[in-house]
Amino acid sequence: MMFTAPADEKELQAALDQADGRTYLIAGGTDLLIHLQNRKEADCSFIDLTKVKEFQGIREEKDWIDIGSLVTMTELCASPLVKEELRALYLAAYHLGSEQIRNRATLGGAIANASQSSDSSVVLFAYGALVDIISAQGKRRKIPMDQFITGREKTCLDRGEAVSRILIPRRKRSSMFGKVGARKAVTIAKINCAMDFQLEEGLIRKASVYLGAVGVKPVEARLLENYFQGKSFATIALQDVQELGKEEVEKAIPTRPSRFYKRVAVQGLLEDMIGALP
Amino acid sequence: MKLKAVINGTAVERETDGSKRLIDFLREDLGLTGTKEGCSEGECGACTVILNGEAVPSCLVLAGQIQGGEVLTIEGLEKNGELDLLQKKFIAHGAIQCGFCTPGFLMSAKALFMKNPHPSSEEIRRAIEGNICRCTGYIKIVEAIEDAAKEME
Repeated sequence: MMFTAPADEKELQAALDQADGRTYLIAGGTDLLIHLQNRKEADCSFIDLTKVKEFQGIREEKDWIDIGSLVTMTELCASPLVKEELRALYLAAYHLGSEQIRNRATLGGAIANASQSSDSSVVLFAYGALVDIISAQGKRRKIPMDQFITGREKTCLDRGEAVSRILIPRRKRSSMFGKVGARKAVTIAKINCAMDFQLEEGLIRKASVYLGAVGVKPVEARLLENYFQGKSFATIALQDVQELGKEEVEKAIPTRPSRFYKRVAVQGLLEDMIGALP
Repeated sequence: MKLKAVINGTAVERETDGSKRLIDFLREDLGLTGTKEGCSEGECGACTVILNGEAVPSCLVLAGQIQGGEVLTIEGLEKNGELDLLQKKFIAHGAIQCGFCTPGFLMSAKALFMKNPHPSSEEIRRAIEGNICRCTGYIKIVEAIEDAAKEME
């Protein structure tokens, strides 16, 4: 087994260049090491990303909030910028796993593993985030979140590529996240939802709403988006929203046995979220 | 690889496989068997240690990832033959029954105190939400930590 921990992008490129089918990129390890154990995979090599300096930290740009792929859930929660401007992302990070998991789990790892019930993925879909990718050759490409995740635990990352940063467009917004799980804390979402509202003089100019864990990747809830457009938070009628939420779930998973539960659960979820809007 | 880290306050340098898990490095290479392995997937908290000031599941960290860092395990809590305040309170409150989860709970509580010496009851509960105990029913554990917090005021 091999272990290498590049200190910067240049060293990372050299390591990626040597990578083969048994090389894994590791950050927090909270998904990867469980997957490898379940698959009883041995003899693999690791490229430890946690020391790559260009992948760290949260940067406040004029048009973007630029989050390093290594930023942990704990760091997201501790950032005043995230707490203030990216409420949905803050809530998703705050309610993820346990203290130990939040201290290790990274935003880059969450999207690269592309779990279908990921809380941060559904938020980044709603924000229309861009994923900045670097290759072994030093080539960069920026891919919209909804194209980055292509299926269940599948992304557009090629071998020899790594997620360097996640860019969230900055605008006057109000956003919300919620999830329903089997228990109060340390729970994996049975259904989750993120809403991103662009506001203009108190009215919703554009709404972006995604539901998670009702398909292989987050699903855009267009009925809800259309409903919200032009309304103010005060004129949202909960019953209408719940009815549309139920329809969205029926549409997303018409045949899954879990639809009976989820089309009810979504109504409670939407009640929580609408109730928490400012 | 040559692994250099500070473990329980002592600089350690070992030739080891960086891709083994931190818990295996602690238990097998260093003989620090106070850290327990429960679920092996970060759900139970038994293997919690403090890495660079933060509680982490040592079953989901690779040994190589601690390079240049600082690790505190249950063996590092006792100072000069005297137990840490948290350990004393766990004993006084009967917060220990079979004891298997105890090192993990203590390290989670210790990490909380290192960041926040005066935590609220809510903050205490949040800090140990990733630790599972099948004996005590948690109440005595929470009380022990609350008592330790009170004594530090």
